[in-house]
Amino acid sequence: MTLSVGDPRLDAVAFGALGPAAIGFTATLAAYLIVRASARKADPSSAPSRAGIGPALGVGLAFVLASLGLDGVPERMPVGSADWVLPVMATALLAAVGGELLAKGRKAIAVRWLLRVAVIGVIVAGPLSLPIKNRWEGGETVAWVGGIALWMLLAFAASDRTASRSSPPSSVLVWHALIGGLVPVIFGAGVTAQSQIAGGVAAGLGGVLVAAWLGRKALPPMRAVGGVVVPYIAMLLLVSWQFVSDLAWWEFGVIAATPLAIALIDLVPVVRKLSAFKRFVGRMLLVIAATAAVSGHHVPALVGELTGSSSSSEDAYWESLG
Amino acid sequence: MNLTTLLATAGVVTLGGALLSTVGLADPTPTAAATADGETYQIDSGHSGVVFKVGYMGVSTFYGRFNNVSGSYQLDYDNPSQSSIDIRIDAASVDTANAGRDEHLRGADFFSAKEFPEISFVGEQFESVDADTLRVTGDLTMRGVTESITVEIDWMGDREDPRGGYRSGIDSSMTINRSDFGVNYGVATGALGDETTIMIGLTGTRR
Repeated sequence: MTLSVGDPRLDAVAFGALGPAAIGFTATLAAYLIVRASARKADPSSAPSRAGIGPALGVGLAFVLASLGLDGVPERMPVGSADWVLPVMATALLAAVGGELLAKGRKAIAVRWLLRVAVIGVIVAGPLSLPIKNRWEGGETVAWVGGIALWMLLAFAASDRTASRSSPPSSVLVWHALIGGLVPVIFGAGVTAQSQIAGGVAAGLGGVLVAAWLGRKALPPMRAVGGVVVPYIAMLLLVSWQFVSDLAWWEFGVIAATPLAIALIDLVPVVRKLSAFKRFVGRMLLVIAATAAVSGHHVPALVGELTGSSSSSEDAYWESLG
Repeated sequence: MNLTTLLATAGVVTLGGALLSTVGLADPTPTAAATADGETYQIDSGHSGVVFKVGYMGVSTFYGRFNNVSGSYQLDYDNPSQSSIDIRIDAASVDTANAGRDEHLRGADFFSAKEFPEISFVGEQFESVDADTLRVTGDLTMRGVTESITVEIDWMGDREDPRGGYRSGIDSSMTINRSDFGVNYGVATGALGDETTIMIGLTGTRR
């Protein structure tokens, strides 16, 4: 079963760019309108946090559309690491939305983190189950599983911190630049399908960005977006790394460090004294430097594939992928 | 003809015969027989081939191969239930005469050879079709997914190897939907076909 419209080039545009962008924009704008309508009613206090699910839905559904449209509808239970991206993202979307809706007050934080731990549990039971079974032994398993879980917890905390200190458009723009900047390196690691889908997610974040700009005064911090993007980056790392594909270890390290560095840069005394705009510029420069470092040398091959401008027989294959 | 010429001619003939013998051409009389003997044969990767074909863009047929295959077979056409076959294909040995494409095929979009290094077929049930053919139902495992499929295996012959040992050969072909095994890159967009035919020609060395 496929969602294909037939022509591969139309599929790429429909499911890898326009569709996800439209979903991201629509979900965020709908949240903005709900916020505005709710603010006029008796309980305006609950509206902002509920509106936060709009951008998260936008990003999550943009991924789902890109994944189903470009990679097809799964017809069996996931087996390989790449098969697990969709189920993990579906879980992350439910957890991010649920975390904003299920509880208020003091319980809200506990529920949100409990759901995030559940997402980590799905990753351990799913894509990590193969290396746990076939590759790692004893302490190695503990080190890897513990390291990945710790990274995710820190990245969730970092994304919360960044969201609470940034305007909705600026925090979304940072994620947009990061995911978009990772497309060439994922392609370079040999995971073409996931690089195409990552392009769709970046487009979805672009749609969210436009709507967040329009509704920036009514939208709450983009905390829930981090609840979707952090597991997505974790899965991109997992399907691209040495056990599955060809992502170099230093590239793995730079990508893993970037979401943490985005938040930690605010702790630098010099940066802390800067205005919100200058801190945002600093975060963007950090993301641009990191993505340029890991993706820069993969850009020519990707551009050659997209434009058909390459001339070697090797490149002719990548061009033929459409 | 003087003695020197005679000796030189004899030497060339002798040396040529020895060389021909080493490449297996000196014995023109085949002893191949189309009769499975129930012996166990180890697959000789160097003289075996696994070729696959898949539709490209709905307009043509594309061929590729796997260069490394191992395993064993013991086919008894008189007592099929005594038969066994175990074919192991090195997924990373995929070869389509384009290094970039081969790298892509080894990756997570297709065979995910680092996670699932082997493609295997293990026979479970054997049934005689005729004197040279067995119908085998077995487990085909690719990319971590196992499906039961039924194939026909033809005994191509067996004979003494002029260089020593004893050899036999079998042929088979199987058609699958690769998406059944999670190998679905390009199916959704129609760039590559789903139906894939795997053609296997194996040479075995008697243990």
